[in-house]
Amino acid sequence: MIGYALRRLAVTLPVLVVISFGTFWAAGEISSPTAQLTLNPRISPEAKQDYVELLGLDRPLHVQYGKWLGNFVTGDFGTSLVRNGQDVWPFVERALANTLLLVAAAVSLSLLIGLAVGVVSAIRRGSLWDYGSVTVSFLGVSIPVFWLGLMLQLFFGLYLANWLGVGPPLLPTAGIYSPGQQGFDLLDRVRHLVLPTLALSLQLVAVYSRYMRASMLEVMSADYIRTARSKGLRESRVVVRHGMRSALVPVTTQVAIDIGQLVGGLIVTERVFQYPGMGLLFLDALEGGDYTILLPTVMIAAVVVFALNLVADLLYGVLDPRVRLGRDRRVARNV
Amino acid sequence: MRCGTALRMLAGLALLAAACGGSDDGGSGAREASGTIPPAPQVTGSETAPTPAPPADPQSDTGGAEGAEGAGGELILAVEQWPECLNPVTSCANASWTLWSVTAHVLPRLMELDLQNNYRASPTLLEEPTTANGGLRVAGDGAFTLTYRLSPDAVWSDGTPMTSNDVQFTWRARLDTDGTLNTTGYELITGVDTADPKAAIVTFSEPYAPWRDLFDPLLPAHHLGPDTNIADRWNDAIPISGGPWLQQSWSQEQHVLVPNELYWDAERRPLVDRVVMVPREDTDSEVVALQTGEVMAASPQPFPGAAERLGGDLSFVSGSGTFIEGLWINQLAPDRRFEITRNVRRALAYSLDRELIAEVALGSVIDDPQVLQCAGWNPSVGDWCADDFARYVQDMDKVTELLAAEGWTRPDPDGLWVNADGEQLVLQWNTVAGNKRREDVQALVVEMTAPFGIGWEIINYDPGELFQNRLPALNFGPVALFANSTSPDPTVFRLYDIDGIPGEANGFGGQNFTAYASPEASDLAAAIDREVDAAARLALVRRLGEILADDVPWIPLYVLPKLVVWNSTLVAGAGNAPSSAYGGFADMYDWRVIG
Repeated sequence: MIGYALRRLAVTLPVLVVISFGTFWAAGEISSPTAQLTLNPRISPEAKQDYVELLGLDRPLHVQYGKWLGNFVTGDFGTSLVRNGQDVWPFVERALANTLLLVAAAVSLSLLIGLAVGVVSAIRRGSLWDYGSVTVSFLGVSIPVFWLGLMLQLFFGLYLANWLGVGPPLLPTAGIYSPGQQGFDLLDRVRHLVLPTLALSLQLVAVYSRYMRASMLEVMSADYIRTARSKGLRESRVVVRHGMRSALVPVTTQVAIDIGQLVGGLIVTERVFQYPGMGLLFLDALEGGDYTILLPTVMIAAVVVFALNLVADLLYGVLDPRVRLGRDRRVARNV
Repeated sequence: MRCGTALRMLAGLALLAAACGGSDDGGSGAREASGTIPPAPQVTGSETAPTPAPPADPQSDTGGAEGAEGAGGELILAVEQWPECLNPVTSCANASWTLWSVTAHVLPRLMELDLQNNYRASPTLLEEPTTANGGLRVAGDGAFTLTYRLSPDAVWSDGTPMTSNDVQFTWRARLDTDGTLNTTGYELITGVDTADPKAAIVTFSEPYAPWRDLFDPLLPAHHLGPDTNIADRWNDAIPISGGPWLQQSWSQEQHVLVPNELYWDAERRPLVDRVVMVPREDTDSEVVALQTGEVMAASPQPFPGAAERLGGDLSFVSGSGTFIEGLWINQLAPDRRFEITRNVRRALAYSLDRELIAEVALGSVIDDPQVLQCAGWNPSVGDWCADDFARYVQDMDKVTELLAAEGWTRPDPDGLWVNADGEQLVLQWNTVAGNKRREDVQALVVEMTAPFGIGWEIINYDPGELFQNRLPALNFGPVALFANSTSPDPTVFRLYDIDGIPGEANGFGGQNFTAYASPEASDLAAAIDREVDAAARLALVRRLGEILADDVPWIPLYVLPKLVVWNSTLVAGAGNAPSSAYGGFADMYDWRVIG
């Protein structure tokens, strides 16, 4: 297992370097902190040039990249180009914490619902419930998040309150705290988490329920399930103890991969709900030409994706005794 | 199983929180059930419109402290682009929303633009420096002196009087701060006499006409000094105020302002107890937040369908923004197939139906969008504007006459013009990729000019590529569609300066992006920056306008509008500053929470 993990790491590191350089190059090409200065009549060409030199943007690309990479791997995220030299890490830290919270809430909720729906669909295969869940799953996967987000905002923020004849929105539609809130307030924080979590969860529920259904169908037709039934075990025990446990293996690996992708990929959800996480930070940095913030957000997302892919592979081996990573040289596959 | 239990508890907690939240007004103050007050009529227009007064509020539109009786509450405003940082001297200040949401409200300035964007003395000054009051002098040797007489009432929020030291400090900070962006005008100052604390005598090496643009904002020497390099200061807080508002807190999540109790101008004492600004960067979400009452007002960028979506309890006004959009013609475009002569430029102008273009670009945003007829400056700033370009209306005879005079022919009456070298009249046209308004304009113009024998090659770029790489290198066009902020205040010199045509000589640092090489226009633009007599300066501007309309270095199309939207069941007094250079919230000291 350790050998396998080390081999995966050895392959991953060069990929991360390539990603970081590609991002560094692309960020400089498509977005520059000086682009917005070009048309400002108050800024002289000389002042702009001084600014370029101050930021070190006049140095060769590989020099800029080398300096940045050296600092990054030693934990020095540097200072922001367009945030007037403020440290980058506090911005990333806050965004990362917010995103992790949202991802945790959405994945937890999705697992809770998705697994239950998947199991019931599998054991009631061909029933109205099964067809209904398939239809809802397809809808969940098909509905774009930006549209769903707006609909949730309108429904919970406007229509529902109007129908019920109450004044304020039932749920806040954006942000992480109510305007004017000072300090930490758990209730307020949770309320602001509800709509983005719902928007994010619909797709995840659809995916997990389909995974769980397919996996359960496969497991429930296995010989050992038949054996368990023939031993006279109660059906609920067969399903939960013997069926679900095995069926969870592919779902677990999928969840690990999803978490990695969600950490860096919530751009639309966070934008719609003005949720100050990694996606919004990435977007702000991109629009503002601030690649000193853009790069850590991309790199952290990449590292998390790779790390959780590795975790998924390792989990696969741990959860399924038939897979012996490293020992029998079989390569784990993501399902 | 334990994990599952925990998850169920978490979900339950979330639902409980959601259910309990129904009675929480979120700190938003006086929110009543909508519909108790009839919605105010929707007001739109290209200029400032009066604020409709809700029937339930007899004190509507009363400004100043007199209207404070029964006032108070909390205003919640949406900010569409959250400032990255607050330093008013460095790159932070390049973002419009830094000014509109922060510095315009908390920092004083010497001269200022009123809500109609005419310069006047701010409350920090006793009077505007003029020749008549001795505040403005041009010496025989060309030295130019301004005497700013500060108001004796002007104090910072910590009680320290504003003095000439603040003026001197601001001057030095502009020049000495690492990464300072705007040194224009400040580098001409040779000294500031601070002998009289309430009279700052500023001496320039030569006359500087856009002097009214200087010392905005004024910086507190006692707070920031003595080091005049303030690059590391005020990144995330401006803890002192010289304006109507004092910043209570600022973060990436919200910005809280409270009245500056020591603000001396009774006309601008805030009527509410607190203003909370929150980021709403997605326009659709911003509109939803307005509809739900989570925010009470916003100043969103114009968006398609605004007129339809901003109905019900929402009122809005539109005004002229600070950006004007047009076709910028690069006479030295590397991809030009022929010389972009004056006749070709004028023929292009005569082939356009600019009324229709403005309608397509902005018709879904505002009623009756106006064509920009000015020669190159924003009509909402000053009185520089004249109808120089009004002559350019679609005219086939003019196009034929202008092109035929230079040897162009049209072998196929329905085809393109062809010159003596056999080149067809096809122009490459660049704009920002993905900008729907501009791409709609491109599609319209392609169709519109086809009958006039003019063809297009459309190549669009992302903003960074167009503005960072191609514009400074004159590697665009010959035609590009983008917005620019141009006005004689503060300057248009760089746009028309012959020496400012980007090239090897100036290290591609010039800003004459059209490569317009008219000595007369260049000299006039320079003279406009030096002429301190208002009437004489206006005459120069008008003359430059005539030359530009003759030469057509660019074709003005329209002014990009700004919107101010407010929930009329929650806010009164809003909507009087849609065109203000300080943003749609410029006069929020006069706004009140109602209901």
